[in-house]
Amino acid sequence: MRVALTALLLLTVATAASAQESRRFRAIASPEAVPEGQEPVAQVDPVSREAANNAVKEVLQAWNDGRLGDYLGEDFVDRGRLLDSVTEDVPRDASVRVLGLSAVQTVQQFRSTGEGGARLVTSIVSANADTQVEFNDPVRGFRTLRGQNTFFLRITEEVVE
Amino acid sequence: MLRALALAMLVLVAPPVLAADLGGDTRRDSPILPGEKQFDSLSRDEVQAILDRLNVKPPADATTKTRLKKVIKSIELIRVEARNGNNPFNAEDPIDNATVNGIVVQQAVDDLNDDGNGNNNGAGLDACIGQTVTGVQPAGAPDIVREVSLVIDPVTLDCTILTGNSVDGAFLIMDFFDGQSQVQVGQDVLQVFPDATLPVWTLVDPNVIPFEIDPFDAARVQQFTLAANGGVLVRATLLFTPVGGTDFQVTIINLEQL
Repeated sequence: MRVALTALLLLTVATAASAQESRRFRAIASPEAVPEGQEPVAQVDPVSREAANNAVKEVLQAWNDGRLGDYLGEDFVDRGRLLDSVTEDVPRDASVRVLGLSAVQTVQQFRSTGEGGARLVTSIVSANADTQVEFNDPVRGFRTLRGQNTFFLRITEEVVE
Repeated sequence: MLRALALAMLVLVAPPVLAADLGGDTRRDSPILPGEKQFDSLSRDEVQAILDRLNVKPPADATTKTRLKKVIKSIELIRVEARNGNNPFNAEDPIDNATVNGIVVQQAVDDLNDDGNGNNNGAGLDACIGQTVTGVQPAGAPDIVREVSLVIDPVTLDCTILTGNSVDGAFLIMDFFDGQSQVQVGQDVLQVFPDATLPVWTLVDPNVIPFEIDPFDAARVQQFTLAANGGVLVRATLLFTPVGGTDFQVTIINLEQL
């Protein structure tokens, strides 16, 4: 009799367990602009905070070294004007540095095939950065210009074995 | 009795088990590989389980879910949204620009408190002289209202000019009402008055509260004299300029203690 009761109890538990559901969270799909030759990934693999931090620093270093053209996207609004302004209006000894970085997000991600069949992943990453421009003004002495700006970077990675 | 009950239990439990066996893939040595679209929906562990069954050995330093590595090939800056202060990527001038309350001005951050005489003191009445500010809609106000607040400490005379809502005890509040609205039909109106929430200052000349410019249809210079509770007198000379029928600007021409 005790065995029968145990068996019935097990059956009840098993039935309850089978009624449960285990679902994963999935982002709600929404339309987004897909660059030509690329396709969106089903699941975004976020660019790490460290990689984003290094990317922002690299761009700002290019600002300091006069190599900004190498890092400015072709679709950056007023690209040519900005390059001219940096060349003409920025004091020669001026440099910009990152004081802090926050809210790093991978907002979009696409994959494509590059030269020689290389598998490429392109990520649009946004990051809030506290920046400070520093230079010596011949009249007013050392100047620091602080700012908070959100940077949008297009980071292209190659998947290698 | 017990044997019969156990048999009944076996009959109840067995069918799902049998069904699961029959429905599954019995070719243990040839797992079904996911398609390209299915692949991305698999978890790290599921992908690794498939790779394990295929006897694929990933490199030791692999980091991704497929045990593959990603190497950065290029970095491009595509947009900068200025939040506050200096934006070194301002195309007009990377140095002399500042974003204040969402408005970009072509003035260096450290010049915002400069009166243009080279004494970047950031304090006293001089801190506001020469500044031009565009009114913004105060929080909670109708969208036809634009406001600028001029705040002066009655003791130190430190001056700050704010867009939108004032802090308590502001020296002067300037409210602009768009005349196209249903509230003030017909013409734009500008009202100037000391903050009454915490009455630190009193408008003594002109002795009208609120002082009103109606219609406000052209730039106009106006002088105000205010007295603090402690007896300090300050005279403000301000230029009001209507902008496009929906906004206005205030330029602090002069502030002086009498």
